[in-house]
Amino acid sequence: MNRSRFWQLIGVAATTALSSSALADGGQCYLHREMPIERQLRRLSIDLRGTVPDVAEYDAIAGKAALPDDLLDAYLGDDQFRIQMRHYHEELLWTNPSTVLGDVGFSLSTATIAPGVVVYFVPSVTKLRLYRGGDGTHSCQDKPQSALGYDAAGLPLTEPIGVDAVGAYVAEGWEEIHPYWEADPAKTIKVCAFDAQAAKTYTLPAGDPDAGTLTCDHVLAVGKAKSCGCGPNLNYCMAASVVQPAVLRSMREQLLRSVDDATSKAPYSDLLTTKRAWVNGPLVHYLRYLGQRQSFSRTQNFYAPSDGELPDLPYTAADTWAPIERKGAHSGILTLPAYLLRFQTDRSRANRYRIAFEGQYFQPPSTKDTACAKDGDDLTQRCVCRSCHVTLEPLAAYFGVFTEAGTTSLTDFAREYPSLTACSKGISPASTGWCDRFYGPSPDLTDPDIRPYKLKALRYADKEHPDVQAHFDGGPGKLAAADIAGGLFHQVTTRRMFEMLMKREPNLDAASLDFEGDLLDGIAKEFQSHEDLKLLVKRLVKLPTYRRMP
Amino acid sequence: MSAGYLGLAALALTLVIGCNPSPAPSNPSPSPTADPPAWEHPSVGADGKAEAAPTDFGGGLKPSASRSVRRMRIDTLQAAMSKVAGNDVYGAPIEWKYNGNNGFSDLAFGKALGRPDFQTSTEESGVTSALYMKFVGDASRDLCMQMAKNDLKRTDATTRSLFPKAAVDGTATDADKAANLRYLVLRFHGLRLDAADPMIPALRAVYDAGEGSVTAPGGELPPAAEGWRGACVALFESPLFHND
Repeated sequence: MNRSRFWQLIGVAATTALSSSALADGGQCYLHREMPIERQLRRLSIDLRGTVPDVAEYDAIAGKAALPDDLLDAYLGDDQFRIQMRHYHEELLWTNPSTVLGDVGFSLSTATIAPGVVVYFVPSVTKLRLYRGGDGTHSCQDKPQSALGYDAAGLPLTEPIGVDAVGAYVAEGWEEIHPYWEADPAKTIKVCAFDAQAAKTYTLPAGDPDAGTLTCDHVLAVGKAKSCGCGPNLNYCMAASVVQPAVLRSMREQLLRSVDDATSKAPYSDLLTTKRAWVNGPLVHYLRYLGQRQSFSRTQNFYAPSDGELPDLPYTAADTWAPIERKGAHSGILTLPAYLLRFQTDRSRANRYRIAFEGQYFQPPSTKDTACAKDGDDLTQRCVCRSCHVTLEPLAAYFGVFTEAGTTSLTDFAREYPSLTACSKGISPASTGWCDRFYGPSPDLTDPDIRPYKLKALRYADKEHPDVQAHFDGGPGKLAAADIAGGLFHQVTTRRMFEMLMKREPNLDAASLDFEGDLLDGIAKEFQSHEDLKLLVKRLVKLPTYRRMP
Repeated sequence: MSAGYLGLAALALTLVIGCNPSPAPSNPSPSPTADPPAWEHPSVGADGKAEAAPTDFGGGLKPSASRSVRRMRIDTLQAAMSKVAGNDVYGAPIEWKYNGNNGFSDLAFGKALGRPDFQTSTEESGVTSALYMKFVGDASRDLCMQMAKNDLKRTDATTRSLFPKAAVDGTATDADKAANLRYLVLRFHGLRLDAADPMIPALRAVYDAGEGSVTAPGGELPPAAEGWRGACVALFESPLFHND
């Protein structure tokens, strides 16, 4: 058969199909018509289960005037509804925290040092120089470290290998190590002996400004201690291509599990307020060991006690999820890594919150701005900028208690240091890099020579911006609580659910005969009283509007 | 192919027009909620003479707006096409396969079809683009071929997905074929048609064209199975499948 003719026939046939009497309602053309019961079932199934019914399900409702309530309840109780709610919240929250979680300080590279011999090592130039000298480009040699031995302090013994442009360099051998990411305990990999060191602490001698015993699992240990390697089972390091995707996947799943809780069990507002979070093996390992190894130029994900007591789960327990109770400023999904790392600035966190849960969007002004500051750093005063930032900045301050580009809670951080030196000593060993990462200089108006270092989120916390400090102290939970108590959260959720199910925006033109604002307000009030998302969905799909075809 | 797109354009036009253009003489049923008062058509004409109000303009309560119609999301499309296709003879779901992956997955064409990754794309377009139509065509032909081939292996006719009510050995009557078409329209589109529905002869024409295209033995499918495959592709490609 001629191919194009075959397609033409298909088109004509399908066109005719649309004129089917099953949809024409007795040959009349009303503006709105009730759909056939089977088609209603199909619509409901697509919306609530994400797929179409089968023939047996169509047959089960044949001849009925309306879809039975128990069928609707069954759909709402179906696991597919949970998945649909996940999709809905993913579109709302963009749950893809695609970010770099490892860097040269603890990401392992591989090198083929002899035919068929692959070794793992940390490729940080600082580490390479510290361990082996030279220009910082050399890894170990193809010998078991047992053949070379260890010195009295336990450091691997080395052999001179050569001289490069910088100077002489040496090399140690390798050790067979079982890495934490391998489920099979018998499986080992070859790791350069310096990197394979299992020491948990190192000691800086008296006389050193940071004298004392410090831990190896910290970013500041990377360039400081020759005796620090990757720790037991390489716990402080990672094969980035293996571990990073697993941690990112887990962060996404962690947020979606909070969505499951809030959409399967009342109250729905727990989504924004709960202290409970879920963690699995990869997340526990990341929070316990790897989060504090990031260099300051990357995201900062230091674990704090307020993040919740971590269960004893090995990295390989990727499918084992355990609840933890967070404390302090934590508040629902708003302080989970998948939210904080997807929206990395306080402004973007506030903006996404405002869109998703307050139903409001920033738009540039349509009129000329006058009587405003033409330049300056304060965007709440600056022409044009201020039309958005006068709202955005106080809103962003709610999220300031979690560091930008990171998940680190700043609750336990000092708010201010009198100088850069004092700020640098806020951590041990002292680090200006650490200070610069979390604090910024804030000129003293009385004495410009004094430059106290304030937490970055608090630099504008002054008399001209009285909300900033209060919002910072309240955290995102205070913002969410106000929207929940005031009903805005429920109004916006009702409207969004209406749009998802009706495939259109509600008519909010009060002068229109089709005005739907009162209806939605009433449903939102009901929703606020019961806080059950399934009941809200049930209410909406039972509206006559839902059963009609355009 | 241009003729094919003409047909599909006509189909889209029909969707926009929405309903049978014949007059609607009776009133829609009143809404149970408090609606604005009915608007009465004046029964006195411009010339001052009394006359009966046209029935199609008769007063009635205006129902509030209906739900709108949107194209399926890619996740839904993937699930729906596979569900309609059913299982193979081994009990595994029939899926559109491309290089060993599900064609709708992100490992194949999921992202090209518009599934958002929430980094580079953050929302899914509801537009039925030419690209969407092309991939749906590919998926339909692949799935329908698998359905037909699996049905040919099934000895119990009632377990077949594509032709449970009409044998493909040349013994099926016109009534059998009409019954099978009605079954398929229910399975694919959720429409329970009566025997006189105009959709049936239109789909029967597709079936006949497919059956007639097999002029020599030895092809992938026997003539009748090829006919059902054609009807299957038409049903998968119809806006009635994708829009709800």
